[in-house]
This record gives sequence, C-alpha cells and structure tokens, in this order.
Amino acid sequence: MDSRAKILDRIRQNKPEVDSSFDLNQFLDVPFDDLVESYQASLAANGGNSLDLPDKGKLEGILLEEVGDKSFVDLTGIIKSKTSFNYEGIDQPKELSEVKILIVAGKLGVAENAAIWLDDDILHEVRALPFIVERTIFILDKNNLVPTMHHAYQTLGGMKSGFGTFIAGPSKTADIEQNLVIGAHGTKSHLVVLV
Amino acid sequence: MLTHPKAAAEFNKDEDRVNWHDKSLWFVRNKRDLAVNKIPQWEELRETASQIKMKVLSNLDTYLEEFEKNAKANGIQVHWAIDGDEHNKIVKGILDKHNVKKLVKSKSMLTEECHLNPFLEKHGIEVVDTDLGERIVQLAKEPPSHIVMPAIHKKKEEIDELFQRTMGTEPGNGDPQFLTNAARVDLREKFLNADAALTGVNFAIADTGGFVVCTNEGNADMGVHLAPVHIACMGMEKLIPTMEHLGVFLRLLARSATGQSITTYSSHFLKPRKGQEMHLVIVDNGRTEQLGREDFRNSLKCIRCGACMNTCPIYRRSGGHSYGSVVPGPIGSILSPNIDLKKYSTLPFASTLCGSCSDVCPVKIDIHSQLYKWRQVIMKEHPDKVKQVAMKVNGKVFKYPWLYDILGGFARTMLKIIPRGIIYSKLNVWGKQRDLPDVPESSFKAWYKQNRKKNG
Repeated sequence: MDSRAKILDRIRQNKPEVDSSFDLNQFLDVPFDDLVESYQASLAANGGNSLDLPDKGKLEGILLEEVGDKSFVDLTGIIKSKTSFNYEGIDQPKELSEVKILIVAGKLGVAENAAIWLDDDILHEVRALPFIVERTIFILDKNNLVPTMHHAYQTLGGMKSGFGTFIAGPSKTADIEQNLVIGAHGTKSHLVVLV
Repeated sequence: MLTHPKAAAEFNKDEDRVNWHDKSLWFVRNKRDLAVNKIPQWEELRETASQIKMKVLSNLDTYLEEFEKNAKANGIQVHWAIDGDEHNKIVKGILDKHNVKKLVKSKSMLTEECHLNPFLEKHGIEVVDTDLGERIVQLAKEPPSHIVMPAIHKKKEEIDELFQRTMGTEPGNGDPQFLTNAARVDLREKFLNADAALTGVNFAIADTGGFVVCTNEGNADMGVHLAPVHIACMGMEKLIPTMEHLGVFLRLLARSATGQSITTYSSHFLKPRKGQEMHLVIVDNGRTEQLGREDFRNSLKCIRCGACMNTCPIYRRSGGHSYGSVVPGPIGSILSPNIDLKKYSTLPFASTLCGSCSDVCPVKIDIHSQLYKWRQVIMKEHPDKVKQVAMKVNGKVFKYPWLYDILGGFARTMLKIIPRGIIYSKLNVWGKQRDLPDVPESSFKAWYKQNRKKNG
C-alpha cells in the first residue's frame, strides 16, 4: 500500500463522527460604520497611507509627482505622458528588480483591515510585481469597498484566476524585540488613492 | 534527558531576562486583546471556526481526496508523506530533479517538525530561511523559540553581534531598523538567485484545490514568484472545505497572533505561473493517530497563531526552548506527547491549568483540559513512586482521627524547632522558592473547643 492509501485508510479508521453546524450568514447581516472612514483608519494602523481624491481628473498629475524619475510599472493606464518599464520584454521575473514603483487598481478593498485584492488578471500574470517593488500605489474605487472579509469573499465569488492576494499595507516585521519595522522584504511604502 | 522543569530552572537563573521575556510576550497578548475587542462577533467567529474544523476532521478523507483532485486539475503536483522521513525524501527528490543548489524558505513549522533543513544541508543544498526571525535563529544555529516570533528570546544587541559575526554587518547599536535593512539587503540577493522556493500552508481549500500562505514580510511571495519551482508543505489538518470559510479564519488568525487586523499578505495559490512547477506535499507524521484519540483530536484544529504561548504564565517565564519540542507552549504540550510520550512526558505538567490558553484559542481547543488528560495518561504509564507512597500514607492518617491528632501536634512542634535547612531540604519540593505558612499555636480542633466554651 502506498502512503496515500495508508493515510486515507488510517483516517477512515480513526476519524470521529461528530455533527457540526455553523452559519456564515450571521457575519454578513451586520451593521457597519462608514466604509471610507473605517478603511482609512485600518490602513493607517497597518502603516499605509491613503488619499481621498474625489476629482479623477487630477489623478495623472498626482501619480506623475509620486513617480518622479523612478522606474515604474503602471497597470492602470492612467499615466499617458511617460513610459512604463516594459515588463513584457523580460525573460525572468528577477529582472523586475529594476522597477521601483507599481501603480495598480485594486479589485476590492476591505474596510475592517484595509486589505486590497489583486489577482492574475489585474497583474497580467506578473505575480512578482507587487512584492519586488519598493513602493505600491493602489487606485481603489470607493464603490468597491466592502465591510468585512466575509463580504470580500462573497463579492469575489471564488478564484477567477490562478493567483490572487490580499495586500493590507507595506511589508513589515517585528521580529527584533517586537519593534515594528516597515519594509521587510516587500514594499517600504504603500499608498491607496480612493477615487 | 532534559526535562521542562530542569530547562526552565536554567532559564530562570537570569531573573532580569525572565522579566524581559515575560513582558515582551504580555505586550503581544495585550495587542491581541485590543484587536479582538474591535470585533463584535468574536465569540461567534471562534465557535464557527471550531465547528468548521470539526467538520473537516469528521470528513478528512473525503476532503483530502476532493482537494487532491482539484489541485491536480489546476496543475499542482500532489505528494503524500506518511512521516517526516518520507516528506524530506519527496522534497529532495523534487530538488534533485531540477538540480537545485539554493533553496529559499518561508516559515513552515512542519518542515521544522520533519527536520528538513539539516537533511537537505547534509546533501549539499543551501537552505536559507527568509522570515527575519527564522533567519536570526538559523544564523545563531538555534531552533525557533516561538512559532510566530521565532527569535522572541533574543535581545537586539545579541542580534547585532550575530549579524556582525555571520554577515559581516557594521555594528548597529542594536537598532532594529538598521538590522532589518541589513537582513533585507542580504536576503534580496538570495531571493534573486534561488533555484526553488519552499513555503508552508496556512489553509488548503478542498473545493478549489488551492492554498493560502500568510506573511507580514512578503518573504513567501518574494520566494515563489521569482523561483522556477514552488514546493508547499502542509500537515493534512490544514484543510478547510470552501474558500468562503477563509473569511472566518483570516479574521481570527492575525488578531490572535499579533493583534493585527490581517497579515500584510494573504496569498491564494491556485495554479503555477507560466513556466513554473508547483508541488504540494501532504504530511501525516502522527496526525492520523492523534485523530483517533478522542480526548486529544481537537488539537488538530490548531491554526498555529501562538496566542496560547503569549498568554501562558509558564511559557512567558520559562521560554520556548525549555519545552524541547518543535511547537512549544500549551498547544505544543498537547501535540508533542502524541509524537513521543516518554520524551515529552514533563510538558503536560508545564502548566498551572489556569485555562487562559483555552480562553484565547481562536478555534476553541480545550487546551487546559487536554493537558490535564495527558497528565492522567502519563501517571498511568509512568507513575511517580514518591507521590504514590505519599498518597498511601496520607490515606492511612486520614482514616484514623487519633493518629491525625497526634501527628498534627507533632508537626506543629517539630516545624518550630527543626533547623530551616532540614525543612527546606531537597525532599520538600513544595518549599522550593516559597515558604511554608507560619505554624499555628494549636490545631483547629483545639481552637474550636476552646472558643465554643468561651462564647457558650
């Protein structure tokens, strides 16, 4: 008998027969606070920054200012007057280490913890991008804010592509005597522009 | 054999360090409370998580089969390992196939449990732990002392000195920002040049065949999105039925672990990226046996948040290394005896049974009750002769009231006149680090008789 069969066999012999019951709907039907306000508070607690920008027309100008003369990838197509780093021309993901800034539009944002969902479709399957850059700028439509993780998974409705991730702030660590340090292996700064 | 009491006594020789360690962990426990209190339905979440995990344990075989089928359809190669040895051989087989010389790893308690690192290093493969805490203990050639904060026992000055010695870093005065950046620069090179990346698994989802890995540092993602091969290793109890259930667990995990609302990165892997190979190793290593132990199977619900360690008065004052097990603290003390009852026989006694561990557990494992149950198993299999004799003598004394009276009077007199050194000898375990109460002038019986007469 191979290990697979052995393991499954042992489970069948040893598993309990216990009834369990639970209801996930109880977490969906709850009152919640102002989503924009609580999103911004959650993000600040995670070490990220936010910008509430009602006027979409100003977006390119703001992004250009943020980018400066650094190498960047703009997956939103908002920046028209400058060229992105050409990630399509690379052989190996590690060549992306030249890129310093990523501008990307999040699919949805979660108010209770500031997490933003990105997936293969949004990232054009260049999965390393949001992790290898020093700074991420997320564009997030306020209409795509949901209160909790339960609402987030309900909205996503399953995995639509091969990879997806919730990113809730800049990378961080507290492994040295519980001192919080922003900028562990991933990004050192994280800006969310709410439009 | 090094027992928990002996190792804890060693740790307690440095009182300042014990106090510092105690405070560091209580700080995390406190952050957990603040984060938990923000969630109005916390208790409902815990109960739901516990029920979901119960459903998984009751149907583990079918969920594993469903998961395997879906994972394979997604292009993930699935392997099964009955124990740590088989797990290590499977991982090495994959690495050999790709001629891997350099492996980057994110945190995986399972690979610690299987002793993967020394096995691969013995075969000439460079293994780099990339979680900062794990990197620190790897460079120091020590095991992790906590499952979430592996280097919580180390002071920043010691880490500074360690980095100077092992990485040639300039002296940084123990500045955490400086030290973290030094590690970032060093590990960035390792990420860019790794031949393969290995991660743990926080949750595997049966109905999608995908899995989720959570980090704050981004080290798991940095590893796997750059390397041509991704190997994920999971204990078979990491399964949950559907993706929607992640809503429950991701809300509980980080709040319980570090007091964050969520980990910075919660990455959902479903298919390998183009040109990449993705492997998943499902490991038993004693878990099926634990599943069969009715009193202890709930321990398989554990999501490895470490909250029970942070709150435990014994863990905080004895340090993670004193347990001598891969997973220390209260949860480690109920998991480890399943693996080796004799070796870990002192661990279920490393508890005051105060129940704080059970109160903070996000999946409602009855940790302190299980500790008590393990004690009963251990006393049956390895009886303590001294206590057995003592209980027999006590039984006799309480049976005859006249004997009790005589011995009581005898004890009251003797405790006053015998020198301290004899009373607090090695035989008096109770008197270790604490004094007996003052000896009363008379017995309660005599006192009662006298006062009843007085007050009529």
